[in-house]
Amino acid sequence: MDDIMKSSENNAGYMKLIGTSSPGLIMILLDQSGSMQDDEKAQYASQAVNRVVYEIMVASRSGEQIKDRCYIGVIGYGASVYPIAGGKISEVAANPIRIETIEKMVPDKAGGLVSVNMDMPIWIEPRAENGTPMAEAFEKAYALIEKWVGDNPNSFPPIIMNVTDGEPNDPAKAKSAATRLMSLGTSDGKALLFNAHITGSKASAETQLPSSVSGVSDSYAKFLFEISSEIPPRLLQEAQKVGLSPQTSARGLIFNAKAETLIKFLTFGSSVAR
Amino acid sequence: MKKLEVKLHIKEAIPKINESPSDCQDAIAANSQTGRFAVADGVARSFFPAEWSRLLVEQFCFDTSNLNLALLKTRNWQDWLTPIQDKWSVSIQEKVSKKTGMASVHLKNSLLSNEPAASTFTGIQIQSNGQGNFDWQGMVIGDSCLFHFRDNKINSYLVKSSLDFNYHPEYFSSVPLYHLNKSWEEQQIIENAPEQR
Repeated sequence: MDDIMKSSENNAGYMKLIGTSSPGLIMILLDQSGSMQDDEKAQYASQAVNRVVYEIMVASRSGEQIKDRCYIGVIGYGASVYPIAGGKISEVAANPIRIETIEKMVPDKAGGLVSVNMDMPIWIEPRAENGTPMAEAFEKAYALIEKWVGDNPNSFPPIIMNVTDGEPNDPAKAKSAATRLMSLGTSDGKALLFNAHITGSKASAETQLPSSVSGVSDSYAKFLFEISSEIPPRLLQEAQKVGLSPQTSARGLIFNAKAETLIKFLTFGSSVAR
Repeated sequence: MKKLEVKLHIKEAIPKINESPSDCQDAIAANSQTGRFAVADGVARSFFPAEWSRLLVEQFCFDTSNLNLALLKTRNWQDWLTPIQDKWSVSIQEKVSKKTGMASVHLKNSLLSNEPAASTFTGIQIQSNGQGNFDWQGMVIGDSCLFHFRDNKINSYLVKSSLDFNYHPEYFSSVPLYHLNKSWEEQQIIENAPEQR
């Protein structure tokens, strides 16, 4: 197994704090293959990613300004592999594709809840067409991150979160590309690749952050386990805070995840930027 | 009658590792006339913390109301915070109303959500006790530490070790909602600490 997967080496580092002089990188790879149209997976996945980008933006605020503590990248893969959004968080924040008005329940001043209309920026629209060029998505991410770590050699390592609902077009090629992606890194450690497999089936049992391959029964889950980084100790605490239950040596993988678990996963995976 | 001599050595705020000086949300105020001095550290991820920390220290050091002047005796923190919270709210609403376009969206959402600013607070009051000596009292809210140097000794309030700092400190909130059920007597506030010379 690659050096990446040995817990002692993988857990070294991952202590750097991100900030304006040492920004972090959160990259999300979003499956937009044809099967994502089933069970509204494309809708809830794009909503989840929009929400995470918004929350990172708000967490990067200092008064009125958005401080560039973090870079964001979102790559879609389906009919093609293409960048959906990317750049410094202030740049991404300033350039949504549209604004959507939604109704939200918020605390009122008396300790109750009140409904308000909020304008929410939208960066990602749901799409679902063609196959699953996951390998090409990893390769695209590699090209972008290789440059980023060159420019930010001492930052907290990049975190890549891959959201998918099915097997890649070419599993062997995807595994090779994922391994190569995880070989990138900074002085604080290797890049972290976390995988979220989503399903619309309420009957399927979820697997959350397994610590060994014996903890997953599905062959595709085993594939994703092998391309999921071990979660560093600092991030294990963040996983617990959002309600996930990682064990020591847990991998950044959720399988058969429903919408709520996907939100938790993306929240924990981007916690260094909050 | 002895006169209190105050020498202020105010060092500029030092930003966290990986952050720049402009990211600091700290505030400091000093009033030698009344013997009141205060430092506040705004919580970076909260909503307009720099404004909040500034209002806190200025209120403590310069406000002439009985509510403020008697604060360390009455410990009426809830009522003491109210006018400061009102000032913060007015200031933030004015700032946000001037913003347009994408720059305003997230700010307006946070206003609608009643998101608060949060800050630690450390304040001390040094006063003559009318008997030729000076007493001092203080309060510490949040992950702060007050050091008292005297006769080659150091006392620290309230923590005695860096290990006593935790990840869930108390703070003053700019929105009353977040203090609705707080009992300030339960908070760690410095006891009267008379000093005789």
